[in-house]
Amino acid sequence: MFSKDLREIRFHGRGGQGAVLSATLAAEVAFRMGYYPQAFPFFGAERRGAPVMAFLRYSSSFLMPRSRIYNPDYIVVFDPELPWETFREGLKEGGVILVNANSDLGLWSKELSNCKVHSIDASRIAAGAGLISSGMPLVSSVMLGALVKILEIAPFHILEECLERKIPQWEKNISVARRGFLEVKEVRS
Amino acid sequence: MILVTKLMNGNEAAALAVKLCKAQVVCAYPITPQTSLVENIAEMWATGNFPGEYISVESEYSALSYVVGAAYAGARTFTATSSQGLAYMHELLHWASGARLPIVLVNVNRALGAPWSLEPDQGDSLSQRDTGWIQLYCSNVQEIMDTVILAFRLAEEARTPCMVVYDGFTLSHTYEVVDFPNQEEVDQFLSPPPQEALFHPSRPETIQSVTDYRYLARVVQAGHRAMLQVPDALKKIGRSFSRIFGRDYFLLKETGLEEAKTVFVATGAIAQTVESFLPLLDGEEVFGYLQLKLFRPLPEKEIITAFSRENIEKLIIIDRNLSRGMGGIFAQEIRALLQGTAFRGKIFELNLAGGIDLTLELLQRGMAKVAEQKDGDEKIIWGVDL
Repeated sequence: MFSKDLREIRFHGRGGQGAVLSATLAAEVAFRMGYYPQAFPFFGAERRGAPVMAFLRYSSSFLMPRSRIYNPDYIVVFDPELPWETFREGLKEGGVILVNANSDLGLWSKELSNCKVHSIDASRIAAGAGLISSGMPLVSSVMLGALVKILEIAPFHILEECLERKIPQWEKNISVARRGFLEVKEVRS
Repeated sequence: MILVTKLMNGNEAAALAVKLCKAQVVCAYPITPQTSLVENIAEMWATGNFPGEYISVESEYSALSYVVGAAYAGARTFTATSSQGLAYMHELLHWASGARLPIVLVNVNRALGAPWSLEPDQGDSLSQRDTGWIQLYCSNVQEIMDTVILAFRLAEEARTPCMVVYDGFTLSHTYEVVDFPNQEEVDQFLSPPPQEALFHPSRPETIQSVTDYRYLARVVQAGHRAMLQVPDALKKIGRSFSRIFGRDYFLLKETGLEEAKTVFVATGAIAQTVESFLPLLDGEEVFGYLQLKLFRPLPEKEIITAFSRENIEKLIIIDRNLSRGMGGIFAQEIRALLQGTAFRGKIFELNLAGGIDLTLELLQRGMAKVAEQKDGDEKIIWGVDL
């Protein structure tokens, strides 16, 4: 078998929301915790607003496949407006979905009833902090904070250090990432 | 040895390697998925952090032309491209090898149109198989960094241009852990540029002008003989690399061949994917794998020795490319090479042309097809049908 601690995560968002950046930053966190990560975007020309995917896998062994991720342990959804069938596919049994939404999943709750769902209202938190570009809330740091929490991969200060090194507006981003880390919660549908 | 370990993607690793090798002239034209490689070099240059010159031109044809000119003058030169861009360079690829210019070129694999695609089909670099360039394929980001450094020394020692090849997106855009060397180590490995100039303003002359078969035949033969020395040269350079950097590179990499009945043969990122699947396949049967790193020249002696073991019954050669009307290109090369050797097994072709992603399930379905294949069945097992 692959190393038992192999984790595979798939990110779904729209071009400009920072899904690819989040996967890369989560890889930095995994790296800081002693894992070998691989973070990569879905093949394609990048367009603002178009559905995009990014992938992250990490393990304590370097030897991992290089294919895209079809059966993730975790799915991270940046845009609550994405149709559920575009991201739900292939989630492992017992897998977890992290979604940018308030705790009321509305139409989704039935579709997602047989998997664990964690939610964080990242759009509201990001907009509240003034993290907006072209009218779109920059949710990536909130989502990243929430993801690091549910992966149980690292204490918050590790993410804080990664954001400080890699992100220009790091102060604002660290503050919203902290809210993501603290406020993400499991949703009972 | 001070080890600096960082997360970086394949294009960033290649760009840093070019900087550490002190390339004097870099000229390139951007094309996805190579773009961030030249962007990285351009940015280092613009901020005063690149030791050489970076020149923007309007096409790949001009990019390689510029680099050819600089290489004639003895400069250490670099360019990079993908897909259509490499095809557009074709004519000058021949010129560079004919003139024995030690240019290093990175090609990031991307399918050739039509139709337009971004998939990592290997058809772009393999279409240039017969241009007289050394071709080295990489299977992870560390290998990209290291192979670019190896390539400069190999190209200059063999006076033959060298193409470093890796999969678009799968390697060019994947962030992973890389140990990267410091400048002193690279300086220890690679002598400082420039090389001796073939041209100099103080002695004007015309070289490589119109010639007849008597001279041309000698040029062609000399180029071939230089190529045949590349495997041994690369082994020697690899040992020197290993002493300085602590990592080993060979012409090919093999695992489990002493016991295996079935051996997978793959190049590029697929090779690492196959290697990672091996422990999951081992049941009653033992599997081995061979990663082909040096493709031109094909390391004949090493491949024949590897497959002459009596225990090997099947080769499954995985190609993410296709010579239409013939089959996978790596498969055809290995079939031809093993004719008349001690290899007594059967060769199967699993073809992923079009850039098919290799998953464990796909490989297992391919192996099931191999098990039921009879004489007279279609030679190729198509990934697209699995």
